[in-house]
Amino acid sequence: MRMRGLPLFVYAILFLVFIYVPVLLLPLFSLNDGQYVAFPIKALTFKWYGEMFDASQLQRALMNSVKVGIAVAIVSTLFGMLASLSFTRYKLRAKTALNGFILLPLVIPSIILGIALLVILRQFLDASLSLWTVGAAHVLICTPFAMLVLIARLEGFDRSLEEASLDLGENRFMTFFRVTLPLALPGVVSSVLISFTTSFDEFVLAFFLSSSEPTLPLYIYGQLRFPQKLPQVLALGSCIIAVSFILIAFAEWYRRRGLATTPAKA
Amino acid sequence: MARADYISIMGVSKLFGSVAAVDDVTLDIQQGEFFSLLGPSGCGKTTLLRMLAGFERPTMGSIDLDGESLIDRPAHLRPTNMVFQSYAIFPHLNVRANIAYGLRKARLPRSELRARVEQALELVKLTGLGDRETGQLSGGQKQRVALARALIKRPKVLLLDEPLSALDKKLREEMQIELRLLQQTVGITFVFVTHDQEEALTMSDRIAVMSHGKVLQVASPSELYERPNCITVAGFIGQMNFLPARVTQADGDNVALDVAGFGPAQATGGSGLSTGGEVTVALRPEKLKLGNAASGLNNSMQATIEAVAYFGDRVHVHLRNPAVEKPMLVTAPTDATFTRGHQITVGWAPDAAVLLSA
Repeated sequence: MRMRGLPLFVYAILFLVFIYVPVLLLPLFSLNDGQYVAFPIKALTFKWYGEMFDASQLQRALMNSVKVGIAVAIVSTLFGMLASLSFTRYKLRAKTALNGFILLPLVIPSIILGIALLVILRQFLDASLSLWTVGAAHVLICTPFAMLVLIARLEGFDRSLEEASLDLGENRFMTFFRVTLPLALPGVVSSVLISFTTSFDEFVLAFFLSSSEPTLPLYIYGQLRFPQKLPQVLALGSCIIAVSFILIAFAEWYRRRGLATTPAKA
Repeated sequence: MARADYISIMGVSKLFGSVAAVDDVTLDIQQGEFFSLLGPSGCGKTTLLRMLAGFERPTMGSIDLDGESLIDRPAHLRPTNMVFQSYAIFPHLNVRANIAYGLRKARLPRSELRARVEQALELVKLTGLGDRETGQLSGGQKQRVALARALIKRPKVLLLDEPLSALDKKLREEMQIELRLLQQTVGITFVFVTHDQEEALTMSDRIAVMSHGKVLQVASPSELYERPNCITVAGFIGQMNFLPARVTQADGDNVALDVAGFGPAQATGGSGLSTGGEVTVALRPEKLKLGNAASGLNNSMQATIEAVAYFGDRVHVHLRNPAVEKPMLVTAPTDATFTRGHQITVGWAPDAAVLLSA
């Protein structure tokens, strides 16, 4: 009986190895005392981390990405909330079509989206490129994610909770803040995290729409031309992996906690 | 004084698409009354209740409460409160915060707010559970929190949407009595929606029986049981035997009938019937008499016992009536013995039957 599970077990192990070993190479080589990413490891060192903290351009790019990411996370979640409220709480005409249009940026190749936005911004609106234009483009691709997460959450709880609030004398606006939002909070947190990571990670749109201020992915790409800078990038990558891991673990913990407090549908 | 038309529902209809969930309903509910809307699922009773609460807007007609029109008033400004079928307890708030939810706008001083919540907890027998999280409550306790949360608002009318349907039988029977006592204590008008006719009979002052969006009869429980006004009501409330009959002679209240299986029979309550007309004779199982008890009765026949079911305090005897498909049900005291397959006399007094249009 145990033998029957073996092929699947091996498959699962291989799957995890292929996904995570390349990721784990990053921290490993970030500790290697050598410029080249190659075995054997010469000696362990933290000097790349030190250099990373001294690299002002790198820090500037990191701050740019964090700024854009936070703004995008907030704006996308706000838009996503408005859209999902209208989809789940009101009878909308052309609901399917609207839903489709909002989700469309998910399937349009970002290179096409990038060129189209560049043309519009430069040729028609005569806007200058900046982190604002990158942020605006990121809102476009993050709002669908935010909406999907929030719709799932808003559809998941008993509608009579909101009716009970109205019945007890609160208008729709206060009902949103006293009932809907607290219950949707786990969804809001996921939406913020997903939007932030999507923006933080995004390369193509940022490549087309940024000015002299690069976001982190652009900076890293630029640094690949200089082999001596690569270990710094590895050190930075390791830090990002660590932060992502903590964020995702927190988000998952929060989501599970949220599931436990969600009432079953009547 | 208690107003007879405290709630006045006039010509109310609600269409969903082209389907009338509620179809031209007119009824008055008295102040301080325990009023039930009774009917099978899909009969429109919940829609009617939701129109009282303000969650649905009538397509036609008007609803007045205490002399004021409710039609243009949104749910949050109506002096009505509701106990939901699912209880709708806010899961992110504890018991105390749930009960105090509707008092935010009253801006009460902290001490008074606390006192009112304690009072409400005591009213529904949850004293000491104010700090509980709602996830730790049983179904019956959630029910009580929902009641306290609605009653603390001191509404003019409390609306209850099948609040007992999720409870088990024993708890439900206890809650029926408790709800009735609670209603008498607070003196608030209760409008109670249920599909359980027994529940409606035991709790209500008056009942409106609904079917397919229409109100068929509004009456006290005993009147509904003794004098149903149509076959649907008669069949829905308790057990009833229906026998087709023809009027052979109409003489004011007294009529001579030719009843399926029984042949010639006498009945009262026949005013309005004319000779030759078709009529349905409705007989409660306990109004039919068996054996010696039936001997003095003119309306009688011989029938075969098809089945006997023992209930402890009574016996259900099913009799074969060759003229109708369904066996007749008779309830009898347990002191006599009934044997399957035996012949027995079954009879009824002229005033035992209800005559309904066929």
